[in-house]
Amino acid sequence: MFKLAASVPDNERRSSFFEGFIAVLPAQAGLVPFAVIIGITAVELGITPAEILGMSILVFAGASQLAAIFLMADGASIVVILATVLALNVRFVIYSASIAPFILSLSRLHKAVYAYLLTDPGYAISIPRLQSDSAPHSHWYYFGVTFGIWVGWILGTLIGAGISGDIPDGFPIELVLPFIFLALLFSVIEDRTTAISAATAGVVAMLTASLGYNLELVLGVAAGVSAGVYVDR
Amino acid sequence: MSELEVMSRIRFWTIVIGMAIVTFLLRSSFIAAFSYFEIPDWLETNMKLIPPTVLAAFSFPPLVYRDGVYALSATEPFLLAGMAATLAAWRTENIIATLVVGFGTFWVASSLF
Repeated sequence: MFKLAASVPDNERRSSFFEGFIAVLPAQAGLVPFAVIIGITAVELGITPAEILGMSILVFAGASQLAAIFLMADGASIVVILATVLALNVRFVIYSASIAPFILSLSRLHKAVYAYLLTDPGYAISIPRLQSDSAPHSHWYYFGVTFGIWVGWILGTLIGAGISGDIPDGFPIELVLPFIFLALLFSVIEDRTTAISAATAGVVAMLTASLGYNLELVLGVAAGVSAGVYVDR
Repeated sequence: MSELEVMSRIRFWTIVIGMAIVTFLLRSSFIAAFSYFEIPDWLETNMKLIPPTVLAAFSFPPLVYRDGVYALSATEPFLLAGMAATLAAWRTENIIATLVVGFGTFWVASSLF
């Protein structure tokens, strides 16, 4: 299906692929539950199992899927939702720039598939191997890692959508997003600047929460970025 | 399906397709190499500020403001759960731990108060 340098033996490609697939198994312990939670939450909020499966396949990006689900349930406008997805996924541009040199010679279809499969853990686990292994088939390792993550993600979504009915009534499903995002937030805060940006964004968003139209998101982000830029000037 | 249902299903898929396009364009930006653009300086320096600010703007308001009012009483389960979850997130940076602590605190607080 993929055109590759003819001189690379199949079994080397295969073993790189499986090495990648195995290498990501420990990370699956955290990724699959995330997908399960997204499946549960989506169906709880009125999205059908087929729809959330479709979203997981088409978008394949956890934080933005979660944000979109809650914004949709809130009746947010398409502009707000897509702007949020853009903001949450803009880091993929950096990953794209970083892995592009290693897959330059591949066909457009091959590149498109590899681009589609790009995720934070997919990148993090395969980039060391891509950088250290100069063999032409080392990208199969990336394929193994990212394909593994993809399978786990789809299965997790299906499982979550399936067990959603077991969640008791009155369970505060709306707390799922804040809790998950809090964990992600502290993992991306790495220095004084990002901490100040985050704190400013949080405070401004809380103060403007009553304005409606998700304005607190725009104002919070604007205030946070401004504060971060100011602190760094 | 009622007409309203059909409309909201169409809206859902429109949004999802939009999300898919945006995300794929971001992912393929440099890989596709059809555009030899470089990331503008201002974007590069400020890009690292976007995840923390967006995540913070989403995380905190629901913990203090719900159903049209600020719910800040000392016995409010959502607030207490939020504070516990923030602490857990700060110390562990772990999704599962934060969920367990957050929902556990909510359960205890709503039973007590």
